Amino acid sequence: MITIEKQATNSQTMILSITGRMYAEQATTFRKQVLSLIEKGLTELKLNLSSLEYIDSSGLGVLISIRKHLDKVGGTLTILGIQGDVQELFELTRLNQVFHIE
Amino acid sequence: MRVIEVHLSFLHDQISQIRPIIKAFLEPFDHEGLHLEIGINEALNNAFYHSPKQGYLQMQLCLYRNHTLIIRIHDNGLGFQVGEKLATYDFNTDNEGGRGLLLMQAYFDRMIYNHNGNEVLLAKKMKGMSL
Repeated sequence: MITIEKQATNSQTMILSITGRMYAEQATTFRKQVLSLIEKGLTELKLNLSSLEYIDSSGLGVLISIRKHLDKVGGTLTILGIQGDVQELFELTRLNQVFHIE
Repeated sequence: MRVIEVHLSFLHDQISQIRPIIKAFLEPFDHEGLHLEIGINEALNNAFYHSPKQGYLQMQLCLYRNHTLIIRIHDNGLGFQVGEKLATYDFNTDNEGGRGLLLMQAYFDRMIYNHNGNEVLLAKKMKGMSL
């Protein structure tokens, strides 16, 4: 229920644009995919969530996990394009103060 | 008097098939429906994570004539300590878990867990429906 579009400058820098609905099951799979990219050298990740229609605490937890893994390798995570209900969720959980958001 | 009532029993590994049913049930409620969808999925996720892999879950979605929505979710697991989770929640943490109960409370008027933590009742007085 989510599609992921990848734009990679090189193996260290990437933008992932997520479209659709990220339920707990999709969040688990997404986490594995991104951690695999980090193991292969990804350090600068931007997540474009402008077309994300649904996320809940499972997905938010995965974003935190990804950020922690990037922190360990000296990398960064930037969240792009949150709006509407997704933005409201970030604000309600105060994660808008935890993530770097553009 | 109940206007719409949906009863579901499903196995632990069928949970992903239930999500579209919840979405469809709440679609008439527009923006409010998305909030409730998140709350219900949070309750389902708790039931899923705290129940055995060969277990089952039951869910009832009831919409009453006075626009009150009542959701009941039960699993056959041992449950979890709801009170302890709520008491120890910290906004200033970047823990990966623990936000589900917060969202359930934010989006529903009432959230009542049983003593074991394997059954929850959620209630919401709806603002209205678009038909």
